[in-house]
Amino acid sequence: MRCKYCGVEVNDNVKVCPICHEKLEGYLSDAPSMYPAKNSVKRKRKHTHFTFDNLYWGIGLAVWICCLAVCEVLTPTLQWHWLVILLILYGYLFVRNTILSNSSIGLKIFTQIIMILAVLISSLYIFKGLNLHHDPKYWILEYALPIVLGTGLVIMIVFVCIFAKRCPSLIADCVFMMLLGYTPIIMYLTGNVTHLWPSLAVSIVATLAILSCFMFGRKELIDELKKRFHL
Amino acid sequence: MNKKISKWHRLDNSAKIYPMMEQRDKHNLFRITFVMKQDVAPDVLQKALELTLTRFPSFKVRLKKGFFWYYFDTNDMPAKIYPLDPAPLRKVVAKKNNDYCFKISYYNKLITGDFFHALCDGVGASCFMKSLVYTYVNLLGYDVASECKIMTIGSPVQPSELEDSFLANYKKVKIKDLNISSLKGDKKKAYLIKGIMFEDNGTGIIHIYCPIADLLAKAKEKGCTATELLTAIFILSIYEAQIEGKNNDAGNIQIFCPINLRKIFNSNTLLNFSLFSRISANPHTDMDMDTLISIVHDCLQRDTDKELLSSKISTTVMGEKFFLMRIMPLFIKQLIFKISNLFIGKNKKTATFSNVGILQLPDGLRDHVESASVSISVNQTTPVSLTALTTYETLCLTFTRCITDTAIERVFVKHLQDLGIDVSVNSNMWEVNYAL
Repeated sequence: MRCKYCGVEVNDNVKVCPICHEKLEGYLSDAPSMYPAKNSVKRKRKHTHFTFDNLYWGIGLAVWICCLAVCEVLTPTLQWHWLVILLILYGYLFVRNTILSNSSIGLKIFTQIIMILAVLISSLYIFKGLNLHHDPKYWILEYALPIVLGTGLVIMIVFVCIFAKRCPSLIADCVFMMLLGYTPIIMYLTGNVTHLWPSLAVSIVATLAILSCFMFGRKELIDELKKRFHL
Repeated sequence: MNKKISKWHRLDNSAKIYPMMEQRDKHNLFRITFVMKQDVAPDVLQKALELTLTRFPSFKVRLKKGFFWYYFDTNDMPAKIYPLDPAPLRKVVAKKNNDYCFKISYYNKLITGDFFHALCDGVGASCFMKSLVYTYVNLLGYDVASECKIMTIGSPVQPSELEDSFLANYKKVKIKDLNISSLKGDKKKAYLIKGIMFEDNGTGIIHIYCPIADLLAKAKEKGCTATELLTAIFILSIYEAQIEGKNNDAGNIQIFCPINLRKIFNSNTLLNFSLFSRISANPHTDMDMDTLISIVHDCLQRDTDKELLSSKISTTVMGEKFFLMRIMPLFIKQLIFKISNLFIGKNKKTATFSNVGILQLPDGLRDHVESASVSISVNQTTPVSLTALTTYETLCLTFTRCITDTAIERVFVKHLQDLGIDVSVNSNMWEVNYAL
């Protein structure tokens, strides 16, 4: 088809000239065109209020308001409703950063460790009013930190044993996280914590975890480190 | 000596920047399109893609984050072909594409390949696409000889195809000898093309076809090359469509022309190996064809000087080798880059004109391939780009734009017609609803 207005030859089956946009003669409705039509683009779903975020926070807020009312009526001295909102926040981060996230398993476990520790720290401060024999900081550093780190490490060992060959990048991720297992013993050696056995136990688990990485995927681990550090 | 091909490789020097520039819905992308003479058979194309990938290890990769830099790791997932998305040059989302950084699509007679620029440049991608189309045609049952113009699937993979030619041609220089000024270019703000953006984040494509012999004859008449003539026409079209009689204080029109460094530095890499030539023209004094041709000629002569290119390569590689850069974790680099990208380099470019050159295809493919074209992604600051690719006797000029107005294309076609070159066009008609 030649456009009678701008004189160009249009070698496609279109209704208007691509250059001057004047109507072309010779368009065949049943003949194919070179490109798919614009209106065949899948339309984006209309904005809806029923998104995960809206629903989660709507329900979460309702639960918290109920708890606040119960708390004020029944146990006004113990402000446990703050723990509820903390758990709601944790639940949200759990879904968003662990379940729905595309990050590696090592990073997910690390995020979980950090989040659980944050919940523990906050909850201990919330219950500061209770007659605990020690400062919350004591409970967190002496027991909570080693237990959470140890649990995370055990989960990592399981993952490494199962997935080492299939997913070599997992091993490198885990090794970095496993090094965190030495934090309690470093804190013990620097005098920040007083009990040896929890710190020592976690360090042993961390060493076992790192050894398991080398046992189950030494070659893969070395390859991964080469890639990641451009060695 | 045949060195072993590594299972992973670093991004080449110029590719390092692209993943850091990536936005939520956009990244630097370009498309190579083949128009076939028959409708595409998806099953055969899928098989052809699988076979072709065995010959191109630099494409069979996934992009991964390292501690200091991104890197490419071998991707063992199968690559898939997709029906063509009507919205061109949409981001290749690796997650939805088995982690591949390129996407092969088909529609009626079209075979398109969208490539993330971190993977390769136009030359590397055209080698891949040529091989894909050649394999596809052979799988259809036609016996087409490669005539040494195609990297056929059985041919050995040369380690030099995966070479970072920037590093290979890097010469250590003292900091005081670095050629930073030539990379920074004109200090003046460039004229930025204005227009109403497509509402749906879409891209308009217009292909202009003309016989290459006619264009070469006109270029010869004017004593210049085809690239120089086309660049001059492009600048003139921007001026006439956007500035003339409307904007008296417009900045210089600055066109970026990629220069393929392979011939100059004797490289056959499939990764990125190009630098830019900046062509700057004053819209108040330089706007006639002969003056523009002379300006473009001078700029291209200046920017293709081997010594200057060598010093530019050394300067860019020095940036990568800078100690602080090497020890800086990737996430800090990304953060710095994203912040600096907000303020630096926004007003330096009016548009890009990329002449990929001649696509060498075997004669046997003449009966199967109608034409081929290249298009590059555009953005808000540079909403129009032009590319050129010659297949057999036909030059295909492709305008890509994210603004509704087609005035630049209209003026460009008028100039070609005034030179006596007969053109034909087609388009994805993004600006006119229900035009297809």
